[in-house]
Amino acid sequence: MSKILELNAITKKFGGLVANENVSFDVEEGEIVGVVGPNGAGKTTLFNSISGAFLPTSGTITFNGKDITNLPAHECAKIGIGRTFQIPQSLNEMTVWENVIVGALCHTSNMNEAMHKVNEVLELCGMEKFRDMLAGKLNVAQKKRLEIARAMATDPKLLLLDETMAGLTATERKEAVDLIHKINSMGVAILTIEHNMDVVMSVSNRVVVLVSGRLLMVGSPQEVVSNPEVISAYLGGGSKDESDE
Amino acid sequence: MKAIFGDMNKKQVILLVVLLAFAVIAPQIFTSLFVRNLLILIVIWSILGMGWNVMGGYCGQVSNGHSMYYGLGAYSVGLTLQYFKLSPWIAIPFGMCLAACFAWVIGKPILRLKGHAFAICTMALAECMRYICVNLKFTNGAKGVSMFNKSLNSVLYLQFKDSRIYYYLFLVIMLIVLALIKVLSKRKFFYYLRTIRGNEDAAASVGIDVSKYKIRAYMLSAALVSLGGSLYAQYMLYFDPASMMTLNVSMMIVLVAVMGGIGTVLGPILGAVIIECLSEYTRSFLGKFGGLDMVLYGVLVIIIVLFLPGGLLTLPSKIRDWRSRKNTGVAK
Ligand SMILES: Nc1ncnc2c1ncn2[C@@H]1O[C@H](COP(=O)(O)OP(=O)(O)OP(=O)(O)O)[C@@H](O)[C@H]1O
Ligand SMILES: [Mg+2]
Repeated sequence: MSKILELNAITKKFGGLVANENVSFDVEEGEIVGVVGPNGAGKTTLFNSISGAFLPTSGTITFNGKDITNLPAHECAKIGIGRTFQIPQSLNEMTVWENVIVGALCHTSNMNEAMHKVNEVLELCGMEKFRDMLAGKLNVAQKKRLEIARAMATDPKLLLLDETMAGLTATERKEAVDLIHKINSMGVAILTIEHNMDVVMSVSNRVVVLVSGRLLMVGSPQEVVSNPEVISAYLGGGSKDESDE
Repeated sequence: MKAIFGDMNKKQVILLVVLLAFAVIAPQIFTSLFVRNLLILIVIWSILGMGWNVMGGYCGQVSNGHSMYYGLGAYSVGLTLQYFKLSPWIAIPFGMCLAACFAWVIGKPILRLKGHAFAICTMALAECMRYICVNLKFTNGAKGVSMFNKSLNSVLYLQFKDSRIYYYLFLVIMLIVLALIKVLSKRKFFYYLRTIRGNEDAAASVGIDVSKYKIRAYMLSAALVSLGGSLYAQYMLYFDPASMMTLNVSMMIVLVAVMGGIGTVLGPILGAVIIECLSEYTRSFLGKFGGLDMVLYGVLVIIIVLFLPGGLLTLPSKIRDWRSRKNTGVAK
């Protein structure tokens, strides 16, 4: 299998604050990799560097064999990196359908083609019934789903999911896990930030553990949960369950 | 045709046809100079409002300095006539291109600013432009430009005695602009602009080059406002920077779009009808009380902003809401 994403010694500083320090790991094609770590560990910052929202202070990012370290966010989206936001960034004054079509227009200017894509994606995400609703009227779970739908409409090869399950009920979480599996079975590699350990265990092929900006370990879910360092980092860093966001 | 009327229901099409028919016969019904003048101003201000709306409404970047493009449009017909005897048929599109180029050049730096900073910056730029035009010899300074010339061919130089000809010509141009906006509103370009207005991070995450699309919107917006300025100059056959390039004009352009319904296709036209009627009638009835017209005007704007933040276009749905609330109240 070839690597779709390679991070090489990524460091990101905000002034004196080091949010990511020397983080290196990679994601294989078609793989689901979980990213865990206590609050403020630098998970979202890492996603921002990968998706081009931030420029890393140092280190390199390679996507599909191409150096994308300095690529701006919109170019990253064009070459196949889709992302969701931890705090949903829905376009509240637009309908669900419109939110998704702006994603679908990423690779075409033809409205008919884009509309076709929207239907596909809305069905995939089970959001057809909301298509004419204003995104601002959706609840958190639906907004998180819309984030995924919008990103999926851009036809990503790699999907970055930032806590798409936080604040969801058990049933909603189960639906979301199913959706992640469905998306993955379409050949999309997924990097997902998740606090709920059950979810991480059940979806991830491998898990990356970040603590205070540094990579603590990469391994299979079993390896990660049985690692004493991980356990102490979680307890020391303040464990987090799905109820707080 | 389908792109223009495709998404309208029968009722809306009929309403549109009736309004259009009224617009066509209006100057035949109203023979007074006052009303005919008003009709022409409405058409011109509709174009200005639609132009501003591309940038301020759809793209969400509020410019308080669009009077500079209004002036630019006027100068491009006025000065090319004065120096080169150029026909407005060429000068108008030339002015639109010039405005777009100008918007591109200054858009690069100023579009990095957001919200209020952008609004204030555009305001300052428009003021600078006015000072420049007032002080340059090339632009005839504060004296302005006089375009009237009896010996010119009236069709080639768009100088007519009968104001109805201006009206019909401008109405056709306005309808073309309207059709353009209507078509674009269902295209990638405008969807992207609305996405940028909604959330720039989200826009970038779906592959939208935010600064590129902002510049494009600004260019189109400038070109349309320049068109409006050219038409105004062509109609008045005289203009000066002190009447065209003021903050007052910039704010009126904003108001037309905001009052009618920001970011909507028909909002600016409705806004132009209301604002122009208001300002012309208040000026003629209350103007002699020194500024009373502006007071009334201000009060109206405050009322609309407070109670109808979506503009007058949202009035029917607001009334419906209010009625249904009242009905359910009675049912209880
Ligand atoms: N734009 C920014 N400017 C300054 N500091 C930032 C910025 N973004 C993040 N940080 C800081 O970087 C550190 C890592 O934040 P980040 O959001 O990446 O953590 P996280 O692992 O996603 O946490 P959480 O689980 O709470 O989402 C934090 O200390 C945060 O305050
Ligand atoms: Mg985070």
